[in-house]
Amino acid sequence: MLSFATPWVIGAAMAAAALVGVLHLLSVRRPTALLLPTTRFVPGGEARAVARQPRPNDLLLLALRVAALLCAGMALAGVRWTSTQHATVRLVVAEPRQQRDSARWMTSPMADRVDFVWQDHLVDDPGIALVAATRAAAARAQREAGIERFALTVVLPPSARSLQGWDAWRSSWPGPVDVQSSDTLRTPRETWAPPPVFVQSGGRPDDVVAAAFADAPPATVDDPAQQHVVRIDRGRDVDTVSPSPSVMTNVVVHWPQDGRPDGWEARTPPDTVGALVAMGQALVGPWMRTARVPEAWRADSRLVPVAWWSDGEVAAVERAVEDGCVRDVAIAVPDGSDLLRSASAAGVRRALTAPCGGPTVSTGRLTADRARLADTVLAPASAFRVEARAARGTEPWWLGPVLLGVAMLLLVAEWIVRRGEASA
Amino acid sequence: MTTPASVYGPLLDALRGVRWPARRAVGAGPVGTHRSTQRGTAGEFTEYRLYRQGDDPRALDWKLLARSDRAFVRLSDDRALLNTWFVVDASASMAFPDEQNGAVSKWRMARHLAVGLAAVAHASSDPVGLLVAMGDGATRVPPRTRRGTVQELARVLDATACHGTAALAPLVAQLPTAARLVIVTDCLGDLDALLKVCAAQAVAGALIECVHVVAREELEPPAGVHLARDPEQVALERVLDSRGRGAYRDAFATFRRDVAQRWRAIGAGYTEVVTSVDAARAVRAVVMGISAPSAAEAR
Repeated sequence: MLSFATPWVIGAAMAAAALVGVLHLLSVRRPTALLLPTTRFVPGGEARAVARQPRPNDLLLLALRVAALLCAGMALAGVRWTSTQHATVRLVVAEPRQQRDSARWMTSPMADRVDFVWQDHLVDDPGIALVAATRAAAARAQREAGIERFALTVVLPPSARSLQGWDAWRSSWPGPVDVQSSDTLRTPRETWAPPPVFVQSGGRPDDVVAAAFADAPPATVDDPAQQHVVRIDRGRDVDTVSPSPSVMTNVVVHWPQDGRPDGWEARTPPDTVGALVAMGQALVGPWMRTARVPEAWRADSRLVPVAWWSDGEVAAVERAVEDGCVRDVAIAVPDGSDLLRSASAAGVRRALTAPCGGPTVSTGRLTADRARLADTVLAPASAFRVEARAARGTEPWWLGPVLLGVAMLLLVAEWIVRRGEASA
Repeated sequence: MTTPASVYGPLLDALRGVRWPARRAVGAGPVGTHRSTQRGTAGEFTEYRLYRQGDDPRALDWKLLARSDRAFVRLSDDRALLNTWFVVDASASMAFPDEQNGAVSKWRMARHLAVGLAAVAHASSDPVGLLVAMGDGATRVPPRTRRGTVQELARVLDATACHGTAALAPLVAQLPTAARLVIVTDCLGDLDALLKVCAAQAVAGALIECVHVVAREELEPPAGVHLARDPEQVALERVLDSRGRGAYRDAFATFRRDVAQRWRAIGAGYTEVVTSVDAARAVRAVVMGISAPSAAEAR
């Protein structure tokens, strides 16, 4: 398929070629003058009539001139020769652990080609899939001018920690999104009840964290449903004491009072930040930060952030252990503060006391509109293509110099033919 | 620098010993080489005539009288000189073709013919004169027999540039009738008027010789399509292409035949000389009154 970066240039070249053709055919070629004293014996004839008789070389000259103009016009107009085999590309965004099931999405009646985009952490927020899809579509559209449309399929787990990112990024994809559910992950836990929380504050009766969770239900042995018990350790030298020898605490929260969990890097000097964010809620307060996540931990995919400072720094992380999970919390709550007891702190309290893996929401509503996909128009590739860049150069890159070289050769041939006529 | 000797030297060498007798008896005049119409007693014996009263008694052949007892007078032919005028056409058409491409123009051939014929006539002690007709007038050199006359004629011819339209008829009309008039022209000018004047001159006793110079390129124009233009009539333009070339050749050939007939009809000698012919051969052809051989025949 031929396309042009600047179509007006090829239009101008075609107009010029048409003009050359018209002038060529209408031109009155005047024969070469010859001084001949015996001209009176030459039979009379109209010079114009003689000139209008086309000769084979006339048509050859016309063809050479028109071809040279068109070749130069195509080169200057940025001609792009692209294969039409992959006008529609289906992007499939899925987590890398879904690779063994990738054959499921290879056949698609709506696309000529399927490209996979493997993206981690879709369980945290499916909105990451939209970002990855947008980035992948832009790269492919810029690289391949023949792509006309993109179809998007996102493979999501049945539940995710948050759908806020999906709602925020959904408008970035200018077309329908086919959301398919993977059946390998956890079941959603839409309903969540506050678990029993056991705070070990080292005998400090005025511990603000203990006070924040004072209304948590107590842990009991007889209720099998209350197998999820949260233990919060407020100090390093606190003895680990189970509320009951028979109660399992599968969530352990290390929440030192100075806000520096073991292994975290100390901030020197400590700085302040205005808000703490967790579960979509922001808790505004005069927060003092004394520690940060070590650089070596940032690449560890086993660490899952559960709370953030307002500048994006991680305030608390969760890591899975054999029989549960451990959460490190680098939040120093001022003594006597009632921040954790406010309504704004519900997100923080829930994030720190949620079951291992965090609370999730079902992705079912994202797949609900699959039936309407056939009636919608796929995302156009032009929405991802930067037009300014498309105006440069030819595709492939060597097509422009070749066309210009061919135009030069045609002009040389035209000169040779014209010179041969003149000498004849 | 080219001198007349270097340009015309080979031609003059080739014409050494060539004689150009008049085609008929010339009028009475100084003693020369041409047979005169005047009969006398000093020349070569030709016949006897009965003595008539009034004849010079010294012309009587006494021996014949003694033998035959009858009185006869010895008669002989006189020889006279013949003034030879060369009228050379120097109009613009004589400059064809352009000598820059190595071609021989009609003017160049005309110069060689005039110098060669003048040399032949001068060698017979005939006075030779020159009249060069150009667009803006004429150059005149009176007939002379002294040494250097031919060189002077050559210098005058070499200094002449062809231009304009030359009318030959008025110039020829001014020439004396008791002479040989050699007209070197391409017959593309005032031919009708010239023929009329020459006819009158011939009746009055002049010996007319026409040397018709034709360019080879006029016989065979270049191939291709050309816009032919007459150098003396700028407004006359005709397209010469492959289809018209045959008709052109036929028309030009018919013209040349007609010209030859008309010149001969008035009693003039006519010789057609093509520029491709060697000048010495052409001069001999004129002298002998035959057609100049073509280049193929010359080879």
